[in-house]
Amino acid sequence: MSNGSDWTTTLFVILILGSYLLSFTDLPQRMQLWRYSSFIRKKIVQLTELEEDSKRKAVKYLMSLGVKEPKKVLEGFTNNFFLISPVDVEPTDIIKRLRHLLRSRDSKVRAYVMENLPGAGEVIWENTEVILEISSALTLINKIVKHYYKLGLKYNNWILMMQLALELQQIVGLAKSYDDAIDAFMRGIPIGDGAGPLVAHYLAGNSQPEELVKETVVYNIQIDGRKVYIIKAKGPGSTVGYPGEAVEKLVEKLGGRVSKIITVDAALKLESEETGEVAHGIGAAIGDPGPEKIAIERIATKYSIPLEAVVVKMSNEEAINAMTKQIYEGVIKALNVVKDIIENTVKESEAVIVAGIGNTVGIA
Amino acid sequence: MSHTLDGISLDPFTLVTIALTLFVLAYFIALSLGGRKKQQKVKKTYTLLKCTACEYSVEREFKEGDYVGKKEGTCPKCDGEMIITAIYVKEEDNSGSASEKIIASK
Repeated sequence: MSNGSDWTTTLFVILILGSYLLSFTDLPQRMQLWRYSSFIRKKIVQLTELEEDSKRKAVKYLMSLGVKEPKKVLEGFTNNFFLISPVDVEPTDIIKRLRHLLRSRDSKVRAYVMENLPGAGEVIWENTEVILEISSALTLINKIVKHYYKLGLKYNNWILMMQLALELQQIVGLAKSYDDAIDAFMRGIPIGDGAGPLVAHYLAGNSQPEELVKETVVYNIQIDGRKVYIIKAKGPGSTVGYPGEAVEKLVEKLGGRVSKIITVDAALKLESEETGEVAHGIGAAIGDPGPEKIAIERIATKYSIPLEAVVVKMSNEEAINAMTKQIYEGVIKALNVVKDIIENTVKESEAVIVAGIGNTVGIA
Repeated sequence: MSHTLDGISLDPFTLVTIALTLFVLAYFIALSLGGRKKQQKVKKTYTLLKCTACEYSVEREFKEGDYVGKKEGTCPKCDGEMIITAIYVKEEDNSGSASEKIIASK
């Protein structure tokens, strides 16, 4: 037998054996499971570092406020303020029940923060609440990832491992932006989600606010003979207020004589869109779990008031981090769009409501 | 059937093995290089102040306690009230030269 036939025979045998191994055993899946689990472990290390970093920042912030046992305060918050969704197989009153649960949770969180920071003031309490929430969210993200990782290993579920590995890049990116966001709240810097309240602030100018509902204010101004009521969360602490309830209350107070309700909010951009792009359309631009948005929709429907929305586009990461110059430029564009809508579609002496939706941290 | 390289005899099987090994090596090198972080830009926070009476505005680095709507000092041009109108983040190259600039307009 010549040399040539030797290597071709060997190669042929290897190919046959290889194809049997790949086709009739679960070796490829085992190899993929091993590869994906190794990748996931590295990402879990990153997530744990981010979680620890957020905790360090939160502890440092609480220490700077004079809390004697900041770690205990943080541990007391993490895992302990979950919310169980209301029953949805019977949808009657679901919004009322959800609102009740959300308000109860808000009150409980505020009571916890006030108990540990007595006399610190509303702005500090609001910022502390958000910092604790972010740190807690990072712990939860890490736990969920670890849960699916262990589940995948336990049952040799390579599809679950692959799905988790493919999603992890995005999850780690989100966790990193959460960790970065803590800095903005610690320093009281406006975030991307503050685009709506910033438009409201510019529109209100020097007028004086009046607290309409809890943590939510209204300004009353005139633009070329039009009565403009501007609603936003009360700043400069970190809160989104209760804009739905405020709009509802104001419309009822005005007896439904409102020619238009304009909501201004930050909106998640598609990957092909640019940060700071402004768009306007119809509906209530508000991203709450439900009660605030439905309150606006219901009151607008009750009195047949047109609902218009102006949005500033940004990514999820940009929405929760310090406002960028691009978003600020978008805010100026959105302000001009709102003014155009008022001047061109609202008649003189008519009333219009402008609600700046979003977190008002760093914006008075 | 074999190829010679300076007197060393290489049969096609060895050549295929060497080619595959080189391919795998190149793949892992490309992966590790691709994963390296690009030079990151530095993010700096700025505060924009505007005079309520004239068009004067100034941009400076953010200080603790700044918030939009806060009144701060008087205008160097007309003695009007200066107010913080915006706080935003800008990305800059690592040189940091732009951060030291205080940009005044009009």
